[in-house]
Amino acid sequence: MITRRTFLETAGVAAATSSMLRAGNSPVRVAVIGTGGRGSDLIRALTTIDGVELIAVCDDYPPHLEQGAKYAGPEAKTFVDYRKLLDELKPQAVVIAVPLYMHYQVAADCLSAGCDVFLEKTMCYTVAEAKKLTVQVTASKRVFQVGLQRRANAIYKQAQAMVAAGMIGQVVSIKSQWHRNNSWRRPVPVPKSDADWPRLERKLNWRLYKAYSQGLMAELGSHQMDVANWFLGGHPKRVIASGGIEYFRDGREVYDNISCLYEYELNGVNGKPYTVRVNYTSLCNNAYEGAAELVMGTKGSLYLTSAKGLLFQEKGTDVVSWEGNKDQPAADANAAIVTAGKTLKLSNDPWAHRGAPFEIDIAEGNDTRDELVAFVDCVRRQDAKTICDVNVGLADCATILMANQSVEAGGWISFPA
Amino acid sequence: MNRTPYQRSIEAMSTRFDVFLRGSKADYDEQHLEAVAVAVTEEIVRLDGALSRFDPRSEIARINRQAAKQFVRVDRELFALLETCEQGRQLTDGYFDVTRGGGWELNAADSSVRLAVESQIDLGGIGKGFALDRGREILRRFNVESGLLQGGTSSVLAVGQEVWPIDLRHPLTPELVIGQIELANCSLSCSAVRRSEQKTSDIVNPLTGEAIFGKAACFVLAADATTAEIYSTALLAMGLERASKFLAMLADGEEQIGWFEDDFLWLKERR
Repeated sequence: MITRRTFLETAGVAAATSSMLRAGNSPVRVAVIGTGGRGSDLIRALTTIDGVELIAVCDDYPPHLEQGAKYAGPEAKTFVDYRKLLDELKPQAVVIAVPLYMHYQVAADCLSAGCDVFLEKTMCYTVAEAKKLTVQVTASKRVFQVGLQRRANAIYKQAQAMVAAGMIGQVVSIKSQWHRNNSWRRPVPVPKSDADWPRLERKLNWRLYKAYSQGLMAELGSHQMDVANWFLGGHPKRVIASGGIEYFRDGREVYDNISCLYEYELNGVNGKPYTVRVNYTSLCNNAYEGAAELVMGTKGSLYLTSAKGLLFQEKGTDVVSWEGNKDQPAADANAAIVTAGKTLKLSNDPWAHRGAPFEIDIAEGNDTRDELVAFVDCVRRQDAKTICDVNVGLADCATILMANQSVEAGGWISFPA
Repeated sequence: MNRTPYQRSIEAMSTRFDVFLRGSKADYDEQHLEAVAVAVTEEIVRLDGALSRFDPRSEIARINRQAAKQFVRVDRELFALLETCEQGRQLTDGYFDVTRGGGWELNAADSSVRLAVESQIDLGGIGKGFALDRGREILRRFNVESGLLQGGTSSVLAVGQEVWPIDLRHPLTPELVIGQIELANCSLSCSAVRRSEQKTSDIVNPLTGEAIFGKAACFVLAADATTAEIYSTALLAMGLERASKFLAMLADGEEQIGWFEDDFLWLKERR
């Protein structure tokens, strides 16, 4: 007799078997939607991963599709319409690298088609879309990962563990920036006099127009604010930000510089809350500080880039200074506590106070390839616990969009409920 | 030639690259030239990130770590470059060898490579040229009619019909100019045994495994920068005598070869 209980158990076994079949040794059939610059990076990386069969690439801009097809190889079919791709090939997994305003629709359609989804950052163009997508992902039980690749970087993983272990004490501040010096403008293949220029300009330079883009915060800041969320173990409580178009007045609609002050409310060891402030800036006309995060704690600071991780210890009483070691109990009560002589001069190097750093000595691996290896691994095992799941993506999306909202509204903006 | 070119520079491949662009149509303003120049420099930086054997995050570093044990899949762009290197090795009787004589197996069926035990790939002799050729593709795609791209001053590529004058420098006395050439729609690659501040050469004769010596420099003009790099590296490793014999056997092509030891001479003129 089959009771309801045994039926459910049987059904459970059947489900497990089908997922194991999916997880077998056959290659994972992957399609890439969006084959511009970032999509091409992802295609190249996918073709180096064992167990991946790149079955198709898709883009509605012919030169990008041609480029993607070249990197993907002759076995990959080409599509202009991603819905047709989903219908015809039913890929097991899709990798999506389309302009931000299309993220929600493409990802939602792929999930509806039963695909596991890797979606480039920022997860969605609006918080409302990000919330809807979160509901859909959770209900679909599909494998879903957002392309915040610092989560796959060995240096950041190590640094996060160091912060969690208390190696830099209590985190008191994070200062991060992505500073570059170029117009952020992609070349357009026809001159401005050409009738097709306005269309191609908006298509290729979609990052510069508000209808398609959320500007610097979405394209750059999302990576770094994710580091703050990750390291501080939550999301900001509120933000105040200022930005504008001050230098590249070339018809663009998104800011060419932005400065944000975020507040995170954390619980102290004694249960008393305290606030950590995160300063984030992005510039398009000075590259001095480049792209980096500085996580500052009471015992030390971590300077992080995707290629370098440095730990600077705070100078404290345990450091022997040039005027003598006052902490050492003197064996001889008459021993001098200061050795006098010619004036000892401190270095005039403005950075000398930082001292020599310890280096996080793990730099093997490539963020983009490693995040895809992790995704494919989850797809193969049908494991929903990806390195950057939909909830991380949602929090990151809300975090960066509240800064843009603050610039527009001109005041503090709270994290959306 | 009177128009000042738009210039943009970038540090990559342990040296400096310069991009000089001139637009010929009024429509292609400085905004366009800047966007194209940035696209070129970003492409060079991207290729550096893939090709550098010193950067542990690069594809070449991954191959060097993993490919001694098994075949390692590489992307199609890199595989095509490795095939070009293999063709260069065969063309130059083994004197251009990115494995420095170590050896490898390339499998075109699945774009994979396996290295002989203790063999390592070093694309230092070809990477800059490959990057310049990719830069030229970008100039063409975006209708920039005239440009000069250079990497480390040893690899130069003139794009378009416009003539760019280039001084040739003495290998050991950088301030001494030993000749001038005019470059148009052509690439120049220079290899010297060593720089003035170096004691020994970082170029190895792949057939003997020993660093080359002397004070020679080889200058190659070729249609593309990748080919120019292959010849300049291989001919210098051969030395003057073997290089002369090799060139005598070589079918006439687009290449033009200059040599400096005590004086400058053309070993092979263009047809």
